[in-house]
Amino acid sequence: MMGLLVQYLQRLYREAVDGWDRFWFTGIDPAGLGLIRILTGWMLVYTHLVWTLGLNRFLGPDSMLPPEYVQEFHGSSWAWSYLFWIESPLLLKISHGIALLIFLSFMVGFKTRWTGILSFLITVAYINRTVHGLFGLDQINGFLAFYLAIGPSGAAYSVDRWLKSRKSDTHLPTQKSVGANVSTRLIQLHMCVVYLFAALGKLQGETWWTGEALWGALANYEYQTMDMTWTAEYPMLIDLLTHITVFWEISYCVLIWPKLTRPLVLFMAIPLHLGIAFAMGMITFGFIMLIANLAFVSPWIIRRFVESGLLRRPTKNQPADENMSLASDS
Amino acid sequence: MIDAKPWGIGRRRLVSVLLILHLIAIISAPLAGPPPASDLSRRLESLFLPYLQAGFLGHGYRFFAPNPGPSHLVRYEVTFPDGRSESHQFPDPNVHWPRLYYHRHFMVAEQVNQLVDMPTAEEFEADIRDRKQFIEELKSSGNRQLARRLQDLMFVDRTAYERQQKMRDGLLHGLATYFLKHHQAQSIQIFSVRHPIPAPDEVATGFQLNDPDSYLEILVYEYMADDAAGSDMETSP
Repeated sequence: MMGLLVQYLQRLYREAVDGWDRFWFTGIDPAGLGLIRILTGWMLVYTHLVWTLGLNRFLGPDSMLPPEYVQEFHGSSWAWSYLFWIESPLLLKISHGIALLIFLSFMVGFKTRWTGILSFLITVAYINRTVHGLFGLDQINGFLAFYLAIGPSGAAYSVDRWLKSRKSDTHLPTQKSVGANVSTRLIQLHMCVVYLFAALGKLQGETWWTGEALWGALANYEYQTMDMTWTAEYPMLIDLLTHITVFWEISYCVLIWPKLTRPLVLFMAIPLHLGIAFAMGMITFGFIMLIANLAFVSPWIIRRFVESGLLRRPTKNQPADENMSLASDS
Repeated sequence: MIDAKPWGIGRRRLVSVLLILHLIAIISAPLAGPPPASDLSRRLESLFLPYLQAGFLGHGYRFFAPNPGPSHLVRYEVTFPDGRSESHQFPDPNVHWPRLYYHRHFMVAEQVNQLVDMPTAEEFEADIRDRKQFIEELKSSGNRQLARRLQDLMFVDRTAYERQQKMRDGLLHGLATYFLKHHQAQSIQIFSVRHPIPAPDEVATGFQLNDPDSYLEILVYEYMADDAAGSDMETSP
């Protein structure tokens, strides 16, 4: 009996370690990470471009959120920001301009290793400075910038790669990367955490059980950008959409992994997040959630989609099948 | 497609340890807050707090939870030296554009409401007096352990109350001084505006979501700047 138990535990350990290594340390095509970098970079550029309108109001030394107040609100020096120390409006404008250039460079994949790290640090600095102006968008922006900074997000669809290819004067074959897999897995797992706790939090609320919750979101005038009050005539529809939202969020962390159910879960994400984007006026939040969900799309699908003519055309010397491989990586 | 360079066992194990720590950290944050939360999850999160704060990785992710509630705005009235006054509000879709900029203001207004939503100092002190009396009764009846726990809880509540009071005053003062300077005005009154959500049957019978009567406001702050230095203030939260 004891022998069986030991045997079982040894097998459990061996298979857990093998499974862990396969999950994290298998190389994948960095195409998915490259596309997520472009789209997240675009969101970072846009998010911070909009801060330009409120440089003095939100970020300046005499802003409505005074630096001393914000630091005291955080209650910890770990919530750092170099913006606490910029007292000159001119210096603030210059540093803001530099930040925008860095985000732009990161988006196009120029010096990506450095611009990735800087983009993450700048994102956190702005977030910590503007503490009360934040919402879900900033949380997702923050962790995507982090995971893109630690992985080789410039290994595909980037200026870096184009420059490397031009320098070597030959077509560079794509190399799978373990680092790209680690970053992608981190985004995937973080998205599972986001949806799981979003659902668990909803289960504390009565209206998510009675079916009225979605009405509360749709009939909020300050959020509303599309008149959805016609749904008041169809209470069963509101109930149904409320229940679907909870079921989808709570099952996401399970059903997103099997290849059979993954497309269904991802397709459900599209109307949900586009609804948030266009009916509730949170366009940026809706988009960043969809961008993060791209981590679950296999790189070969992304490569086929991007290279079917959207970004570039095959060159004369390039083997036709080099970058169009349908071999699945994840 | 070239295969990836495999990672050596040492690198894999080191990265594995870091990944496990990171995953525990990002799960500990939504477990620990917003309340209710267990002591275990709060202690776990506190271990990772420097990492979570430095990387902005610790969030509750309670989107529209536990219930989608009313929205909140801030209205303020500025009075100029010549006696004229103007009323402004944020967020204001006609002023704050694009939508993301509107949303930034919306979140500040929500934060104002969160911070002003607290008992007055008199109400709080009355509650503390009642609790102290109850603790004394527990002590005299020999229930010292429960009395000590309630005393600790009272201390925690007082610290939280004083902190919220301080943060509320700090934020409202920041808003007041900024808008006074922005409008070149002499005094300002800040109102927190609550906009509850009407029931579906009300809307089905013609009630408008932006009906002016559905906005409820309370005065939360008054501030008068000294003409010369702008330093003296009168506050009445």
